[in-house]
Order: sequence, then C-alpha cells, then structure tokens
Amino acid sequence: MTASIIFEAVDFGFRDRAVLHGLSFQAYPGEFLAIVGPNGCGKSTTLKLMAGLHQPVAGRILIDGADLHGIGRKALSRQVALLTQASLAPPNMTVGDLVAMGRFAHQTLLGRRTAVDAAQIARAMQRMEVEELRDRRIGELSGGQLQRCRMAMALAQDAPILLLDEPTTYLDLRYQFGILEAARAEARAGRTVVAVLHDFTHASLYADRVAVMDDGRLARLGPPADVLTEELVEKVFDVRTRAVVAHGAVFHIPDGALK
Amino acid sequence: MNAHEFVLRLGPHISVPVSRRFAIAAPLLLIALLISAHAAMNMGALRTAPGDVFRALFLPLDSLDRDARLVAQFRLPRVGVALMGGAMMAASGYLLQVVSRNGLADPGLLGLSDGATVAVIMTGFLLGPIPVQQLSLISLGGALATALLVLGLGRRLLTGGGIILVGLAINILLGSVVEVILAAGTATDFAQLMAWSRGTLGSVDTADLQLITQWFALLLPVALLCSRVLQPMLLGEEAALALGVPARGAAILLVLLATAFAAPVIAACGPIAFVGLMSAWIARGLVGERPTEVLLTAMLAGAGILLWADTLGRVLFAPVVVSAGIMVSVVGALVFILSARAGGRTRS
Repeated sequence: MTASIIFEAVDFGFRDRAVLHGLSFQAYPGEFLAIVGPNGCGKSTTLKLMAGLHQPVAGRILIDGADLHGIGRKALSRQVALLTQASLAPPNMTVGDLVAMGRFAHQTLLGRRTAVDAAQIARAMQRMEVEELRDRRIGELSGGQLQRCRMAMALAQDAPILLLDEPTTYLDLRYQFGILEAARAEARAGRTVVAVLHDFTHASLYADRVAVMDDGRLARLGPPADVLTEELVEKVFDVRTRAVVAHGAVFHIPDGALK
Repeated sequence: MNAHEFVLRLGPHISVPVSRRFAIAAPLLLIALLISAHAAMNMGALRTAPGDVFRALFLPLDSLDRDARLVAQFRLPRVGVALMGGAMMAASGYLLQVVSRNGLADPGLLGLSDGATVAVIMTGFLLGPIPVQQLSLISLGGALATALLVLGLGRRLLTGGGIILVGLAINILLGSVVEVILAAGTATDFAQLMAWSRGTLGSVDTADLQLITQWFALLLPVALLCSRVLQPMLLGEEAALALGVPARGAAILLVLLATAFAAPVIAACGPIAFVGLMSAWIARGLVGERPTEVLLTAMLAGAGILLWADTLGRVLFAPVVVSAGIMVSVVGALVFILSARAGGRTRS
C-alpha cells in the first residue's frame, strides 16, 4: 500500500494566468518532501493538482504509475489525502463527525461504519491528541485545536499519499513539532508525504528532501542542506540571509536583523 | 459509543449513528405533528367529531355521512398537502442551503415561483382561460424550466453563493415580466392567480394531494440516499473533492433535487418558499449539523409550520380566510426576530 507521485512536464493555469510551467519531479514512498517558495509561486496549486482538484493543461501526473486523470474521484481519495489550507467547517459540526468524514471514500452509499473505519478514526484522533475533543463543536475550538482535528481527518483517510498545505498554521510550538513529527512518522511507515512549508528550519529538520519553487518552476530539489543555501534564498526570495547549520537544521537569519 | 450518540443497526448492512438530540427531537416532533394533523381536520367553520376523521381516513367515500364526507373531500387533501408540502419545501430549502453553504438560501431564490407564475400568465395570455386542473401542471413546467435556466447560467458557480446570485437575477427578471403583463391588463382573469401568488391552500383538491403524494414518495428515498454526500459538501468544494465527493456533479444533483421538491408544492400552493428557510434554520438549532438528521428534522418542522399556518389562517379570523403564505411570513418573521433577540442575549 505505497504510491509514488510523478509530475511529467506539467503546465497549469487559471484562464489567462499561467501558474506552473513544465513542472517535473517525483516523490517516493517513505519520504517526506517539503515544498518551499515565495507566495504565489504555485506551491498550493501543485498540491491541489496531486489531489485531483485541478486538471493539468499539459503534461501528466502519475499516481502509483497510473495517470491521475483516469482515476475516479472516490478511488483517488483512497490514494491521496489532502489537508487543505483553509477550513470552512460549519461551527455546529462536532469534532467526531469531522474526523469520521475522512472515511467517506472507504464507505458505501449507505455509510456503514466498519471496524476498520472505527479503528482508523481512533488512530487518527489519538495521533493528533484530539480524543477528548470528540463531542465538542467546531465553533468552540481554538484555531490550533481545529487544525489538529482537520489533520486527524486527513490521517483517518488512511491514504498512501498524504498532502499537507501549510500544516503548522495556527499551531503553537508544541503542536507545530507534533504535526510535523506525525507527518514524518507517516512517511517512515511507507507513505509518500508532501508538505508545503514556509519555515526553512522545519523543512530542514523534518523533510528528507526539499523542493524550492520559483514562479511556477522547480528551482532546485535535493537534501535540505544542499538546497537551502544563502545563494538560492537570495535568488528565489530576494532576501539576503546568513545560513547557520546547527543540530542538523538550517537556520536563515536575515541580514537586516543582524546587529 | 458515548453519551451523545448511539448506533442504530438495521440488518447487517445498515448502521446509522444517531445523535441523542435527534433521537429526542424527531419523535417529539412526529407526535406533535400527528396530534396537529388530527386537530386540524376537526377545525373549521363546521364542527366535526374526532370519529369523523377516522371514518374519512379509512372508509370508502360513498359510505360516509355529511360531516365525514366534508372531512374526506376538503380537509383531508388540504391537511395532507400542508404536511407533505411543508416537508418538501423544508427539504428543498435545506438542500439549497448546503449547496450554497448559505444559511439564508431558500427555494424562492431560485426563481421557481416567478417561473411558475410567468408560465401560468403566458399560457393564459396566449391560449385564453386555463382549466383549473391544468394550472398546477403548467406552473410545474414553468418552475422546472426556470430551475434548468438557473442551473445552465450558473453551472460554473454551483458551489458557494454563485447559484443564489444567478437565481436572484432570474427571480427579479421574471418578477418584472409578471408586473408588465399584469399592468398590460388584458381580459384574462387574474383573480385566481393573485390568490395563488400569495401562497394559499384554499384551492387544494384531491388531485393536488395525489400529485404531491407521488412526488413526495419518489423524492424522499432519493434525498435520504443523497444525504451522505451533504456532510462533506459543508466543508466547501475543495475539501469535499479531497474526501472523495464528486462535488460539482453532486451540486447539480442536489439543486435538481431541491427543485423537484419545491416545484410541485409551488404548483399546488403558490410561493411559500419561506417555509424552506425557516424550517432548515429551526432544525439546525434543534439537532446540530449532521445533514441526514437536519434534513429529516427540517421536514418535520416544515410540515408543522405549513399545517398550522394554513389551519390558523382559515380558523382564526373566520369567515375571513388569511392565506397560508401570509401566515407563514408573519409567524416566521416573529420567530426569527424573537430567536435573534434570544440568541443575542445568551451570547452577550
């Protein structure tokens, strides 16, 4: 139950605005791939294409060797789980119902909940430490609690590919690391994890490889220490920084902040 | 499982988690509805006895005495149409609210009632007086055609508020067409139309009951089967897609279903779309946000609202009859204002 993702020269755009230009890369089972890049460079769009939310204008996306275009919506959702950036969950919905929706693609029209469903829901809630929130309503949660519940919903989907769009948003320090550790653990368990991250330190600490995107193109892809260099950051983000390596993590300190 | 829900098992293939609030609210509403229906059949200018209702329900028409016959011929269709019509309007309203993710959507916003009105007027204008029996079929056709027009124009904007905007535009356009034709003042008799356009069950007969019953029996199972996709749709198009719901197809299906629910009711009783908005809103307050439960609760609430609006309208100021549409608006406005005030107090 593993699946790789392959982008083959993928072009994508909205109406007259091109977003991705000939994007090619692969993500492998068992790896945590982080995507970083400036705002509007196409990171989220790349994740949405992987989840089948948009269709490429040109090129192909292969999921486990099969063209994504030919996979049915429900079957695709058994292969790919996506934690979207913004939540629109209604305030009256309970946390238990939200997380249980992760099982939608595994259920029939009548919605019978099997022992497998219950076990996956329990595992996901335990993993994100939200069991005690089960009967709470979405409107009563803090931003961070909601984010963990949404992550639990994505985990409950039990898909071999896990896509996370800025997963650490709203989270305090403990749960930022908690959610990234959970993502890495899912990768170690054989899943393909792709996350859009903004924090270089997070990316260098948790990701196996980092893809830097710039204006819809892949600027560089490789191990964090090779990719997150002062030169690349200046070129892509237009910011002069000093890179410091400590405990295996890369820290970028902006020049302007140095005294 | 826990204090807030239990699992209802029907055979080996169906197991439905039921929330405690629904398990309490739904049976209570159902009992209240049955009592109300029985009471409504005995209320009116002519006093009848409870026994007449049972005879009217279960004995053949020919064997009935005068009182029971009155109940069977006039009050039974009217109560039946009010119950099912209210439930169908409620279902329509809730489905539209889910698709547009807007708690203020109702079937009227799709332009259905104005579509029906235009169809009736145009037919009367072109072909002369319309036999009463065909009025509901023509208005049904008008409502369905309008829904298809709205769907066609708004097909790129189905999820989110877009469909409501398109519906509103069509609504306003058709409304002005009605005004123009009425102002042109031809020889056609508009008295009946005016009564219909305020929303009334006054002209409901057994044929209407039959029409409504058929649609109700057809649509209820479809709605229950579809209700499972409603929950992911509440999270918005992208999240619903990611969870495995073909969101665009589902949205089209749900809008069509909402139309099919509302159109026959509008054909029989005129535009009483406000029932749809109000009952869905009450149901969410009662049972929370689990779509199948909200749908069923809203249908029970809608049935009760329309039944009481119609019954009070014909009894309260007798012999003057106030149309159900007006009663619904008055009662609904009061309910909304009072609960908004109550909500404001508890929050502050």
